[in-house]
Amino acid sequence: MDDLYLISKRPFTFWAQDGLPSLVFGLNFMLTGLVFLIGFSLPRNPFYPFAALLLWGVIILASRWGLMKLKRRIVFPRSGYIAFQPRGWMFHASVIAIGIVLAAFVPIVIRQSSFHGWTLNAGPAAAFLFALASLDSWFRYRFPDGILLAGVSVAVGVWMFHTHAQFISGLLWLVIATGGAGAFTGGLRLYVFLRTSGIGKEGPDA
Amino acid sequence: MPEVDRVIHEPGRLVIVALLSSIKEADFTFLLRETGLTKGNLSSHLSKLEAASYVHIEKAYRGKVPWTLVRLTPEGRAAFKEYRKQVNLLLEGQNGRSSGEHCRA
Repeated sequence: MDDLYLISKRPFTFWAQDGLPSLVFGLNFMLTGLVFLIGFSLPRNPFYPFAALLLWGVIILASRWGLMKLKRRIVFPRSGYIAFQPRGWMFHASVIAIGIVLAAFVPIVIRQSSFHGWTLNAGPAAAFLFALASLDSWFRYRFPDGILLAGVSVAVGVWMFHTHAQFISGLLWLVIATGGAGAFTGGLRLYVFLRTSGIGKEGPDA
Repeated sequence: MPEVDRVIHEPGRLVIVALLSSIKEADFTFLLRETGLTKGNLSSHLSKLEAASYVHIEKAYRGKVPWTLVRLTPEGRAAFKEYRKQVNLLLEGQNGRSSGEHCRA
C-alpha cells in the first residue's frame, strides 16, 4: 500500500519536474523581495504600504497566470496534461485567515524585536522556519528544490546571525536568495526538459 | 477472505487508478508516460475501466491533434478506496496467520 501512496504522489512530482513552477515563483520571490527592499529604503510616505501590497498582489496573480500559460504552451504538449482537484472554500478561507494572522503577527514581532533586542534572533528564526517549510514541501509534495531551498534558508539565517542583520532587510534578502536559487534550478531543469522532451502524440490507438 | 476488485487489481489498471486518484483529470499522454504501457495496452485498460464506470473518457481536439482526457468517476474513487481497504485486510490477515504459525513452531 506504501507503493500505491507513492504512485498517487507522482502527479505532484510531474507538476514540478519541468522546472517551470520553480522558475516562475523563484522570479516572483526575487521581484517581491526587491520591490519591498527598495520600498523600505525610500522616504516614508503613507501611500507606499498600500502600493506595495497592491504590487505584491499583482505579482502573485501575474505569476499564476504566466505559469499556467507557459504550462499549456510548453509542457502539456510534451509530457502530458494534468489538472489538480480544485480546493474547497475551507482551504481558501484557511489561507486567508493564516495570511491575516501573519500580517498582524509580523508588525508585532518587528516592534517587540526592536524593543527587546530580539532582532538578532527573529531573522534567523524566520529563516529556520522557512527551511522547515521547504523540507515539508519536498517531503509531502515531492517538490524537487525543497532541500536546496532549505539549505539556502539555513545559510541566509546563519549570515543574518553573524552580520546582525535587521529583521526586515534580512527577511527580504532571505526571500530574494531563495527565489534566486529556485529560479536558477528551475531554469536549468526547464532547459533539460525542453532538450529531452519531444511533442507527444496520442496516435490512432487512443 | 475478502474478495478484491478484479477490475482494479490488474497491475496496469491499478497504476492508472492510483495516478488518477490524487488529481482531477489527466490526458492520455501523461498516463502513457507515467504507466510505461504501450498505447494499445493503455487504451485497452482504459476501455475496461470505462466499462466498469470507474473512469470517464472525453475525446477532444487540441487544434487538429486528438486529445483524450481521463478522470476517475465518484464510483471509481470509491472503488479504489474500497480496494485499498480490501488489500489491507488481506495483508493483515496474512500477517496474523504467519505470526501464529511462527508461535506454533
